[in-house]
Amino acid sequence: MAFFCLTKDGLEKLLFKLIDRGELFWVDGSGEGKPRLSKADKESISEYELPSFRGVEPLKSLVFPPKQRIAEYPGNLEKDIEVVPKKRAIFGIAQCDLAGIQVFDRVFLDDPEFIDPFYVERRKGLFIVTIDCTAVHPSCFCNLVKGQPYPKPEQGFDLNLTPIDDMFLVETGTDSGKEMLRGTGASKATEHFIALRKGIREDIGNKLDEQNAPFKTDKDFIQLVSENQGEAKSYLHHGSTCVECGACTNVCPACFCFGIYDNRVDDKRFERLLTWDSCQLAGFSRMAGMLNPRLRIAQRFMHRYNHKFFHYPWRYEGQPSCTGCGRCIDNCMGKIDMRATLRDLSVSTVEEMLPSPSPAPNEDSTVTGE
Amino acid sequence: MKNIYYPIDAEVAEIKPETSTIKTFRFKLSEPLEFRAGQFVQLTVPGLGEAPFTPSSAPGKSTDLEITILRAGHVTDYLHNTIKPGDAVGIRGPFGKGYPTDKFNGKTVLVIGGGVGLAPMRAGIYGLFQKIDDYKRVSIKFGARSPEDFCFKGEFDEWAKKPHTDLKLTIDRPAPGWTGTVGVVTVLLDDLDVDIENTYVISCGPDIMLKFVTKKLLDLGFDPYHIYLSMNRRMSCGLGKCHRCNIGPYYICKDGPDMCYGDIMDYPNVFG
Repeated sequence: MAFFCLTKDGLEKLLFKLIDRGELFWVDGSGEGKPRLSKADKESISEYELPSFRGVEPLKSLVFPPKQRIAEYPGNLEKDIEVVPKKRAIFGIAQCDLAGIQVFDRVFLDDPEFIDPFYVERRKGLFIVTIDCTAVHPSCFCNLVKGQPYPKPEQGFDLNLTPIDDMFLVETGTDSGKEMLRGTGASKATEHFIALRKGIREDIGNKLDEQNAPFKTDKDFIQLVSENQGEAKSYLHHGSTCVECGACTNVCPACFCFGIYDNRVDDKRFERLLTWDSCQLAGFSRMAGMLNPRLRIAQRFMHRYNHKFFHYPWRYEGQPSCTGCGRCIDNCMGKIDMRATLRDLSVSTVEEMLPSPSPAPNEDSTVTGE
Repeated sequence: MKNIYYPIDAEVAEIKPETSTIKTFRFKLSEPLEFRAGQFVQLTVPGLGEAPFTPSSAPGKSTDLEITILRAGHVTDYLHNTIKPGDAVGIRGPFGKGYPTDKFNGKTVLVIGGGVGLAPMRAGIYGLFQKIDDYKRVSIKFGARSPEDFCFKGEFDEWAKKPHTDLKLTIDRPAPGWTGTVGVVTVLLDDLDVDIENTYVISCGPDIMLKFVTKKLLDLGFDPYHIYLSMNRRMSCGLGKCHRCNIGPYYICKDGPDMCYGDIMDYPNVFG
């Protein structure tokens, strides 16, 4: 919409404003190791630094908590509920996490038949400040899944920041984003300053392309998965080290599968809980009488790829429900690399495939703390 | 805003045994619920959780709802062993598309059910009877393990008397006093006398039955797009969100639970 120039001092003012607005969560790039998600406080603002790539934690718990209370019964009291959007802001998130929120929006917000009121409560008041990635993490692969290392305005940010020299180029995505800049000293960006962003984006895009060149396929991943509805060898080859821990689905910014459970509150009242679940666990699709259409790990492993690259895009605008953040790669005990599994759907023999366990990212993922 | 996860209050009004493992529960709802034949509901047993069932009572709008339930898991164990008239339950729904009855106009509808699969079939049959003149013929084929294992046996005579309706039964193994057909339900398709091109099939039963019924129908020359199977999958939300009940890209809860076989036949694990 519009471009502004913000100084480091202006950034601090913006952070103060966001804390005054309500809760603020930020992905903090200061300190040792990778960027971390935490709740912001005013005392830490002077030490805050923008992250250079996505944080360790996905943001989904802010819009979709691991456990939420969704009903108490009987009594017909909560059939209709008053939804008051929570005033919250998230600051410093990368495109892959913004795309994750879009995945959730399509399911819980945009489905005209069933809108989740609890999601509306957490989502409608959410103010989103994104960043341009300025470094590539070894497991990043947004470029292979219809993404890019910076957000586009249509993806729904309020503000996006690109660090340029000691300043920030701010792109506004919404009117409330523009409004939030008031009082921060943000000035209209010059054409020259705006033009600098193009070069920065090209650079990071090239780095990402270079890193992921070994995984590039002629057909895109959606096409490869959709065409491989049988048990493709790649799933068996790369899935052979899966230990069914469910880490991949928990750290995924776009995994939304859940379960509903009921508990007793007291003699007369019961509560209903909605919790994260994982399609990688055997109980996920097990029916009464112990029937299970996905009894074997291989079936469940394949199912996850199918959901992300076939079922979801089939239903929602051709978009995959994988955003290429690479957290599943960093956290896999079996060292399974999603990119390798997907890439190897394009070949037919194990000899042509990448090794399994997959080549781990260029660092020892056991010491990253993720 | 509507809370899509909230069960409306209901209570158990009556419990009727059907067989040694199947009972029909009549529930009194605190507000009327309207459903089409083939749609299902989530039944809440307070504190234990929800389980999906297709009602076995006639489709339409009512505060009375019947569900015929086989004892199979922890929710159904409780329903069979512990719950009694007057106890509180909850109902959420209806969910799913229901049978595509518009497509059946002027055609023969072949209804194939096995075991507790007769339960949703009963709602389907009542739905067909409500507009019986719209269909050329309704042909019902039911199978059970033994004569005692048929639900709704007291109603069969009445069904067979409906206009252009016929009903045939079979049991898995010979039993004293049984003079009818013996063998699994597919034996009733051996000498099928319907106009195959102008017949739609609706079927419900265990996965293994659906598998062999489908195979038989295809062998007989049925169009896969004329076969509607009531699929069995674990469900949680019923809203097409939790992604538990999918077959390929289809959600059984939202696009089914009666799935057109032609739509799902190319995807993995259709019959478990």
